Amino acid sequence: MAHRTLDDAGLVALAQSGDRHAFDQLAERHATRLRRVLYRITRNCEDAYDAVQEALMRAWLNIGRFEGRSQFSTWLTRIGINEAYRGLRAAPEQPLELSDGVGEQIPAWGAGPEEVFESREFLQAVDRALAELPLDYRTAVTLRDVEGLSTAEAAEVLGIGERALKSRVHRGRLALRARLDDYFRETPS
Amino acid sequence: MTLHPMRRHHERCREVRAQMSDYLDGELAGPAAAGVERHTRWCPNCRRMLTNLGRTLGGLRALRDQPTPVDRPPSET
Repeated sequence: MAHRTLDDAGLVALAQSGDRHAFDQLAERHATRLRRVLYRITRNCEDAYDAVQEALMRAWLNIGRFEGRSQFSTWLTRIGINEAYRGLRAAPEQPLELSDGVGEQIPAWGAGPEEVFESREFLQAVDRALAELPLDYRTAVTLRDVEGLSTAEAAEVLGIGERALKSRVHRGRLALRARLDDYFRETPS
Repeated sequence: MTLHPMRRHHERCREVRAQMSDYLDGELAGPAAAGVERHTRWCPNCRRMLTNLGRTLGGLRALRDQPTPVDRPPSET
């Protein structure tokens, strides 16, 4: 059977009947993206690799329970994030301290051209700021903004409501914006 | 009791900032989106906040295409 030509739903159906090659094809299709997501959450290569391996094993063992109400990739990402969180939750989580900044002077980000905001330096500053966000906010922003999941998909992955997801993403973005103020204060254009 | 104009202004800043993510995501209904645009036209702090929040979002979306240390499986590294 030419597994490569099948869509995810077809591969899932075969995997649920015990076809290991069909599951391998699903894994090959989604593992890279899952590794990237879990790396952005854990910020540790080994943790990301381990969480992906564990997630694939759990997905294979539980494929019979997958009912197809969400995309396979959404289901797999949820399992992967649970695995990644298992290691990270041991560390005490820092709360997100965030002033609404109302009544304060909001600084402009230099007088340089708009290309500054596409530069490697700026993207690295964004990535560093993202790495420093508390876990729940980092995960929500990674899924919604970096990976481009819809609000509904990201909420489904995290097992929370859409309002809660939107709130996390908004607060996470505001915190990143505030942290990037520091970058522009230290990097005059 | 009438709110002090500055307090009323700050209340509006707070409301508008709470809507900025939805505005940038295109998920704010017409009248509310128009309200954000009207407020940020004459409030310089909210205008800078919206501009910089938009640039932050642009940077996050651009990260999607940036390489990470785990782009290859462990056996290929």
